[in-house]
Amino acid sequence: MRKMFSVLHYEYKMQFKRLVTWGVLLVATALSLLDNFPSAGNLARLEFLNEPAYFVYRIVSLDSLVLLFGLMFLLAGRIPIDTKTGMKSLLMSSALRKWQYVLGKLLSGFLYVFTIQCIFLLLNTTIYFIAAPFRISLIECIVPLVKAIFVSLVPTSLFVSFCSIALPGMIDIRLFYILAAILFGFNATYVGSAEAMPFYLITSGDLVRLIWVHPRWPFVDMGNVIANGFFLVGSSLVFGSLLFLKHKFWRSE
Amino acid sequence: MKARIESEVKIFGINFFIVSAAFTVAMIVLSIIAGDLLDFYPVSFEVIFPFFVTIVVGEWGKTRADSNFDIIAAQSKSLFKWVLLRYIIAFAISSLFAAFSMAGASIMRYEMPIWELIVLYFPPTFFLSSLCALLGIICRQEHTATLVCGVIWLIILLTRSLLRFPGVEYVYLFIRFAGDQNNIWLWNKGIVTLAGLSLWCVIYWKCKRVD
Repeated sequence: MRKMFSVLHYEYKMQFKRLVTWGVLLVATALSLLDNFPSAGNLARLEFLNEPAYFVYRIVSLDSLVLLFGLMFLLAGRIPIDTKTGMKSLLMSSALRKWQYVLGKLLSGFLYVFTIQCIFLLLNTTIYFIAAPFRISLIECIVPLVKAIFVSLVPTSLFVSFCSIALPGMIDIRLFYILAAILFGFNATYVGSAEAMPFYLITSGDLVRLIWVHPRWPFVDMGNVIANGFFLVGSSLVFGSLLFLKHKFWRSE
Repeated sequence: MKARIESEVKIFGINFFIVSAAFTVAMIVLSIIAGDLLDFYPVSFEVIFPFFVTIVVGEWGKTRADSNFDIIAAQSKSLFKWVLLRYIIAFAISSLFAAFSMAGASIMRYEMPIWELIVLYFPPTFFLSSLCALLGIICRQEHTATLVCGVIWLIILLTRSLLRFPGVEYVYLFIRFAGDQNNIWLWNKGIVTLAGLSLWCVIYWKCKRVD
């Protein structure tokens, strides 16, 4: 267990030291503020921007997609780079076991994406809270934030981190980029509607309707919510476990 | 020249051809099963395929991230020629797969002539892949060029609402996908191609500085 935590700690710390991480966070924050800053123009353009719940909903369903896409690229090389630099062979020759290496990588990736997403959401909400030209109570911001953490940040972080770390460990990293770009592209082209959203969307699936619903269509289809959640969590666990099942991935034990 | 092209193709490796062929087949299958709700041609050849070519240029046709870059920069007569040749090969082969996909999709569901498909496909592909080639010359770290181009591609997809501002439709990369309400898409494609060419001026300047 201690060795697994060593891998986790190293990976987590190393990711935060990369300048690109902060660059991606900065770009995503700048974009989301351009889109959602409570200025007179944006308030006139977005009907519900004066509701903190809508603001949080918009951030996690739309703007976090750019952040997740960037993080996906940053995480995808974690296993291939160990193979390329020979680090994996060195680790395999030590007493480190397969499950310790794989679990350390997967969990550090999850914690990394989750932390960056939390910073992104908190930063945006704090700016919104301070800059809003109308009164907002603190509780109005905290409730959707807590909801967003559980219904969106946890499953999307799990999905992006596990897929980005596990899949390039088994297939060509460039094929992974193509597949991920198609999925993210689909997500980007979907606009919110009263209809049920496809279950395979990452950030704008029906799960985010638990944060905010349009007042004219206040119905939430729990079947679709569960399908979306099941897709995100289920596929992450499946992809994560594929690394454990691949015999050639590590020395025989 | 033939030997150099063969050598570049060898460097690309077999994975490139397997991935490209699989992707092409997937697009043809999508053209059959997509149905009428999906505006298939703009989505496939104006949005998805250009990014595929960008990934090819950034990942298989890497330049500064190539481990032999310093040796090539020190020994070759012109770095620009090497960068250009690698780009042309990556762009041409992946565009060949795009052409196969266009032909296959046209047989399955004919919606527009091939020449229109090529005009739809070329400018955004040329611009995004040229941007990737430029970033490939600037960034030493692997995958960074593709990452930056990917984020830009996604941002452009997410910011269709900016088309409400006057003039944006002339430079928006995926104009047919966004609807092209004022029928200016040919102007748009011309401007995007010019922007791609100007990126090559910057690449030339960067290479001259390294030379």
